[in-house]
Amino acid sequence: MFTTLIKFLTSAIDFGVIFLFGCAGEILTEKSGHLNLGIPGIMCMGAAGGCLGVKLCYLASPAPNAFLVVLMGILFAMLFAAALGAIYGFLTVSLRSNQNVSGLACTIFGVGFTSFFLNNAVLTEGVVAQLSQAGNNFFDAPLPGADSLGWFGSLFLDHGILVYLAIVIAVIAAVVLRYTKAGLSLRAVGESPATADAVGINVTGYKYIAILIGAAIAGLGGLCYVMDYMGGIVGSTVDQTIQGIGWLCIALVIFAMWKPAFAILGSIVFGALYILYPYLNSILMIIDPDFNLPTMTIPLFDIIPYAVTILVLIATSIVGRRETQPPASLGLSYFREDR
Amino acid sequence: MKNTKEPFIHITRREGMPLWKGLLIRAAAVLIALILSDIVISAAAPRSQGFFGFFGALFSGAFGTERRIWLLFQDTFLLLGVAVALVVAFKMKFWNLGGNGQILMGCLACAICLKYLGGKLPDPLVWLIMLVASLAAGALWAVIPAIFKAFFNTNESLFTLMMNYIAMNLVAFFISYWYPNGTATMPPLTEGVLPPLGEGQMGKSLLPILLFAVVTAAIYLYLRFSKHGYEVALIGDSKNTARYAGINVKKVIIRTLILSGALCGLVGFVLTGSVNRMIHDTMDNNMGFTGIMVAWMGNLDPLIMAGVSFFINFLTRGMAQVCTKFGFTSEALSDTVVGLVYFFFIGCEFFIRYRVHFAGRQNKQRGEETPTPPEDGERKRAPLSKDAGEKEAN
Amino acid sequence: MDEYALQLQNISKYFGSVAANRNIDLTLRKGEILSLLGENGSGKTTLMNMISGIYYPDNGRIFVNGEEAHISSPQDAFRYKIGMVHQHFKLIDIFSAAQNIVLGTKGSGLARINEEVKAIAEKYGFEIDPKKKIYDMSVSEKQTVEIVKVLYRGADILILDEPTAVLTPQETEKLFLVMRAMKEDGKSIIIITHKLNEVMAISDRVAVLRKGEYIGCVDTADTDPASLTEMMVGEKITLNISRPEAHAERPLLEIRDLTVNSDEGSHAIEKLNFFIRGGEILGVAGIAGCGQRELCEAIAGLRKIESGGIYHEGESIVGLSPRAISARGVAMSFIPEDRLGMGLAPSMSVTDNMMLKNYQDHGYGIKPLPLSDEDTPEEAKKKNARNRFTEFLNRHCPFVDRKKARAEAERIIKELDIVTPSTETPVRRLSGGNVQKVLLGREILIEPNVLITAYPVRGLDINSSYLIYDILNRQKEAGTGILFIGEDLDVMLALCDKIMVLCHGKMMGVVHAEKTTKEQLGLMMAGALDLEEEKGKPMGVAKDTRIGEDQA
Repeated sequence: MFTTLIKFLTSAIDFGVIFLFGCAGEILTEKSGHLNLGIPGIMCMGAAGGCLGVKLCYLASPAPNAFLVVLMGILFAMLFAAALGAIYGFLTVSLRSNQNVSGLACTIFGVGFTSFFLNNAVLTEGVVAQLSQAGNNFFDAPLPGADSLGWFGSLFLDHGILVYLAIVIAVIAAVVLRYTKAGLSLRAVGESPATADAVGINVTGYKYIAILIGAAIAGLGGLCYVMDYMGGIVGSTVDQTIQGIGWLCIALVIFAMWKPAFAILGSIVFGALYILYPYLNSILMIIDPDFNLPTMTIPLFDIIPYAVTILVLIATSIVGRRETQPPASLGLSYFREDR
Repeated sequence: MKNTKEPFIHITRREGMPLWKGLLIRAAAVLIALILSDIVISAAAPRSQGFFGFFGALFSGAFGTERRIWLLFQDTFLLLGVAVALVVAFKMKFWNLGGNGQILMGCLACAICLKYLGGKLPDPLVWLIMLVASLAAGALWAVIPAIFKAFFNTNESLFTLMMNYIAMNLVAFFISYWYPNGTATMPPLTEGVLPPLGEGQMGKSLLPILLFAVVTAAIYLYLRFSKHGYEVALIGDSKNTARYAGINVKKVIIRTLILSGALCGLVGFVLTGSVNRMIHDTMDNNMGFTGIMVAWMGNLDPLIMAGVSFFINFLTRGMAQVCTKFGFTSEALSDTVVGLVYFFFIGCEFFIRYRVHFAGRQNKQRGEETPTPPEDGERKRAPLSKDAGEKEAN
Repeated sequence: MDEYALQLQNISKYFGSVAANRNIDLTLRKGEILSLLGENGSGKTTLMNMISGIYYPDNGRIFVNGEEAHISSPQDAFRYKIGMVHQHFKLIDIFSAAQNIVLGTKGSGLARINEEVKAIAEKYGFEIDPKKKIYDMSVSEKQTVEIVKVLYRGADILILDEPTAVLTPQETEKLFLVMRAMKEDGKSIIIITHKLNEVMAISDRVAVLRKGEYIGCVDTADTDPASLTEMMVGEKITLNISRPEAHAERPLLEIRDLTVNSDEGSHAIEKLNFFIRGGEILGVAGIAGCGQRELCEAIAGLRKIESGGIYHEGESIVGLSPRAISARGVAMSFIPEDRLGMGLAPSMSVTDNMMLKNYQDHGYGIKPLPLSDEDTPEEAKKKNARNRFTEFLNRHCPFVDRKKARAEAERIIKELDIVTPSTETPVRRLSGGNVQKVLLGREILIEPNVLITAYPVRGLDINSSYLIYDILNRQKEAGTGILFIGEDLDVMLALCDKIMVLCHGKMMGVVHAEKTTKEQLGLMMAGALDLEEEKGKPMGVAKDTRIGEDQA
């Protein structure tokens, strides 16, 4: 029972960080006043870029340096994601287009491009197997002591590098937003760009930086799903799965009430909900060995994270506290000369 | 003291660009997007067909056979139906991103009726029950977020977005409940489905085409001339003013979303009851999202939206042919190109709504720069001439 | 060193084809306070926005300390040590005072900001709590934050855009003290205002703008309010608003012990008692935000009341829908600061705005049969029955009657002299004065018996204002009871029959406009004089509008 629970939590963390990347990226973006519905597409782009980065390493040498593989994966994931983020930023910041529509276009493009790119550029010539073995080893490598320290080891040390990276990023984001002048300025831009502009904050600059960094971080979520959680196995529906995860990331932002620190906890909760079915089954089997949750209930379990998000959304809107509300100018474009 | 430079680019808002000019800019943007796609695809394709081969394939994919033409029009009107359903909500500035879910719920309700009533009751009665159930299911999926929006101002875009995935999983649940060991797709249903209206593809396509042409016209009239439509537009423009006019805003939000959702449900009804005659969990074909693009690109005007819907379906169908002809294994290329067209289309709006000035050019062209549409409000209020000012001073 | 801190040469700015500023020259000396005077819409704020980097001029040159400056952003303005305090505060609600003040400045962390802010406040004599959140602050506290913010950035040239509009006379005095302290410190200050007494009290020189053009600049010592007014409006105007004699009629609208909450949940209106008679104008004076909006909304049925009663012609209208209240003949036109927020749909046409309140009652456009005295009882009965039927038909018609609304739009455009290209132009595209005429015109169209009008001349030029006063007086003569919520005490003294003064939602007393003075009103607005408390009933108290113990 206890081991199952530890295993459950470990997996919840492993899966949760995928949400954490997407959510932290979206929080940064939303703090600048931009609701980026392109996050699902951007996370897909991260997966596509990561696969390309890793593949390039293997094309260059049959047994590349582990550090290099991870670095290339991260670098390309961030580059690809930021590229789509840049398009979103250009449309919504410079060209002041509708954010909902621009975001959806980014998702449509990102998901389509990823599917096309993975099928036609990365997964050709039998690289699939190579990628799956390769990625797994390096991205999923646990810290020393993971096996020897019992439940502590498996809960806190038995994770790939990206898991720790996600938590570090979330903590840094929390600190920057709360304790630095840059964070104060970013929040001001999201609350009231006209005010921020009037005190000499470079509104456009902050918006672009927040969108680009946000997109790059979210892109790591796609990389994390493919290389860490899936162990490098790239299926044909990977773009659809990541898209679903991406929408949940946007939901998680609400769940975390725009606070990166809360997002760490929230992402683990979401991760736990997402993988609940198999673990619940095995826990119930301990109580009653003959018990078997029918597989047809799987879709019902899949509903839970979305339903929980809706409940949080309703709860926060009913309570209506000032601290839990979205940035005041979220979704509005800013034009200085508007009268 | 450090001298700052004169800004190089300087942007001002413009209003009332003539329609033809706006259309021209949009057409140019789309053309650039297509040419760009053509060049990249031709360069990367395993079996390139040349610059014009791209456009040839595009047109033959869309119009190549009579069947394709019927399918093109069928999809155009289905998508238009979804877009029109969403416009009803958008006019109120209610961001209904839940089209996918509302369509799927329509499909599900229809499928349940077919499954349990098909062949057991007279067909016309089944059709009626199917229709009512689909409309109700779609409306239900839209009205839940609407109720919370109305009473607690719950963010509707995120709420409706989440509802999509709940609907999708509900459909998946029912399929695995009906076919525990089967695949995710259901064998076609035969009993109780709507009969074709004629021979071949035309017979199958005619129902959605006629139905949604009528629906579009009706919604156009509803929004433009009815008291309800006036209320919807008023709430979209200013909630305070609507309240001041004595409108029960909560009631109108709920009523409008029932209509919006029911129309999406109607699309589901046609998809399951007539076009596909079965159900699976991606049957909405992402029309809920594409419909948003259509509505927005069509300026929320049903007539322009019809054109946009036609163009997007032309592109999707045409690109499928391009993929085959150019030797790509994945059809996802189609989405990529459509996405690119969206980017250009969205981006070009900027040049319709704003005017860009470059440094150094601003002094000389003051005179001819004023917007000159006949309906422009600024024209008649010509700036007071200097003489007038002096006269007053004396 | 140049003697001018700031020089503008030939500055022009256009919005579309409308010139907001045309060929303006202006100078600001070092260490002086310059008043920028002009009516609303004369281009003062636009001009100042160009100095502070919000707008970029289409034409002309700006010199700071004798050197040409290109100010294309607020950052540039700060670099030239120019800081502006805007009329609508640019503060972030959820931040504290100190966070707002340091926002956008260079330098590391946020650890010591509270002490830094305190130091500046002490230097010039401000009172400020650095940790207080903006959303908890009063208007004058927010203004203090704005000024400290500009000083924190080291501004030498300060621009204050109508700083006194939201202050009580006492708060204004305090502000002037601070301004003089800043002047002593060598700062150059431009203050925008249209209050002549303040101009005379605070400034060294006065520059006047009219309709986007520069009229001239004079030393305050060499001028007087009359000649400034002349420069400002172009021709000598008699501040003589006609006041037809009120003929006392029965009370139309009674307010008893009314308590209304604000959006934040505090009492916006507390235990208010008064009534409006037909054929009189009752003014409501008070500084901005002391319950006027909530009072209007409560009467119109837009806001829930906490306790008390509202009676129209003897019947309670509490709990009725806004539409039902409007149908009884209670009309309300409230001009909010942005002019469009309430009462009008900005993107809709003039026509569509016309039918805002009665679109439900019209449809097929069937006109009722006219009744005449010559009808036999039989015929009258028949006609009435038919009219009821057409009314029923029209009400249940699914479509709106745009034809009728268009005719109404054409009528008020003609009668009120509204400048618009057509009846189908969105009201958003009309100028402020015309927007207000559309709003007031529509309210009068329904032939109300009680007209509540808040700030009807806000931002209007003199001529349009007089047109509005005229309309109100005509309504008054027709027997309508008018509640006039205003800003300008001079206008209220001339136009209203009685004036009720509110201070933080409490009634300070009702006085006869003819018998009171501006000073007395100012004291009452500031809460320093409460006629309700005083037993001896000093001069000017209007008893017949307050509900006494005997009537309640």
